[in-house]
Amino acid sequence: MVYAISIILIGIGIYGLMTQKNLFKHLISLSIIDTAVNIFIIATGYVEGGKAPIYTKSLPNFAIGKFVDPLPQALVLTAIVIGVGTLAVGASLLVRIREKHSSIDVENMKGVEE
Amino acid sequence: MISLLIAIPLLLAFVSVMWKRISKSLFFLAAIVNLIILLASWFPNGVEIHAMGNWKPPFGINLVLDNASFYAVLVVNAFFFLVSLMPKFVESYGTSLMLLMAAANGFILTGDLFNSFVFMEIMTITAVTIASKRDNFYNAFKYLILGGIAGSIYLLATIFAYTATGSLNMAHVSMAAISASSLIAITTLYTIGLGVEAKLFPLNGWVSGVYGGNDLAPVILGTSVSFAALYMVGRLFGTVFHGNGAEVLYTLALITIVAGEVAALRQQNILKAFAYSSVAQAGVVVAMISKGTAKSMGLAYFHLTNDAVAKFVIFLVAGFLVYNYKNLNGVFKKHKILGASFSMATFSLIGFPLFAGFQSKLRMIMALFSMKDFLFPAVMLLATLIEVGYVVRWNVRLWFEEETQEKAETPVVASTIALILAILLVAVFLKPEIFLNGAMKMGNALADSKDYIQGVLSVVKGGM
Repeated sequence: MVYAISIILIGIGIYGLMTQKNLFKHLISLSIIDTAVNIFIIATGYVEGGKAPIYTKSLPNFAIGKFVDPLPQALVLTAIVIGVGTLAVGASLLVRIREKHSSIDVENMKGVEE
Repeated sequence: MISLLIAIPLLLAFVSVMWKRISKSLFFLAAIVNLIILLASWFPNGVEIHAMGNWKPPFGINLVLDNASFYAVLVVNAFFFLVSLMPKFVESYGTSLMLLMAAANGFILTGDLFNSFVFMEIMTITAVTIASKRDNFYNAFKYLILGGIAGSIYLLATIFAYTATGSLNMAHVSMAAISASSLIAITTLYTIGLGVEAKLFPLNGWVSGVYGGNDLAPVILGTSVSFAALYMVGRLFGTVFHGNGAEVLYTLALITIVAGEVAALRQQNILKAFAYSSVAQAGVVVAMISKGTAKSMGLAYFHLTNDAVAKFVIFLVAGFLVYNYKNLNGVFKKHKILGASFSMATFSLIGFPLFAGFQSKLRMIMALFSMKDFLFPAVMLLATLIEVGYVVRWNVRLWFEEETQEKAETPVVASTIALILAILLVAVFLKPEIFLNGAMKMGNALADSKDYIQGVLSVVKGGM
């Protein structure tokens, strides 16, 4: 079920990239794809009825099947930070695009050299 | 010691944020210290690993220095050093260049799949800031979007590998038995994830805009960053996945060669024309890597080194010309040294005898014939024909057409570097061992995954 959500979100992101003409929407689509991948990663480490991976009195030993996998969560934390970095660079570029080409809509931009 | 290759440029990059004025000198310092460290650990001829925080592999993150990663890091840092010699060229991009250097070194040295994703993202972001020089914002943005998607796909592939094997360590993944269906998914996703940086066919739409937009981006992205990305193709498909999924790479690479050369022939802008030529050469290298034997991979990196040296000269000269002259007709009459080095580099690109390109192309074609592959040599020869077309056209135009403009000031350092590299290309033709020995060692190290696994999982040398 969670996998389905993430695949649908990736689809939405790709659709946005292919159809939208506003560059800010491209950035949002990228962000959606990032989130979808993060959801997917979290889902792979999930164990039905699993507890947080911390040793407590009720779970003194490493018991497979009772802990959720902590590694994907650590990976996602890093991936989120990187996603924010990408978003910030993209947004700052958009500000400069707007200044130079007077619009961030692909159809209205002036003086673009590809 | 090798962790210093990443730590020094990273540290100096942060220092340079506070002292903007000396960022160029800091960049020079970082480049020269890195080169000294590399010269101190010349070709390890084995596998040296540095386990971060003393976590024994396969746990934790480890940096791996073997012949393959050593040669790649050496080439990458040499190009950064050459760029750092030209302060006029670096302008205020010292910080970005240092970060890019740290990321490229980390991307090559790391032995951990997730860590390589992190370094790849840093590489993309800093490459985007460099691409946006001279107000080239729109193309830089396109590159950011494509690079971002590629990063996500690369991460997805990494997670697939993790779920299939339970490990992120490359040596451990390489050792594990992965089911055929998982392998298809993982290698396909890695092809897409690396395809943007390695300039493979459907994913290389950003190249002409980014390389054609300013003078710094092609010189550094077309040489160092491409080398790092193509090294990773060899490491993943050669060492980690033992040549699985290479058919897809091979097909895409052949299409890349033809598409790149045709686009280069049609281009009227000199930087963009050679940007497409760099796409085509990346295709040649990837196709050669996908053959999967030690010899073919060694030759692929031999060709890549020749191509990177030639492209460094071409982009250096072309970038100077484009931003100092409105009309390029006959400009080499005023800049004879630049002109001579440009012509030598372009002839090496075609594979004309007397220049390095001839040695690598001839060896590749002979190796392919002995493997009974006739399609790829045919494509390569066709590509060479097209190359002759545009190289001769550009040389005639830049040397012999009527000149119209006042002379701009000759960049002394840049023309010296261009001339030295051009002479190096001739020296490599006379004595191919200069590059060939290192490249062959690299190919052997990439193909020999047993040695790699053993080296990483048994040797433990902790900390720095």
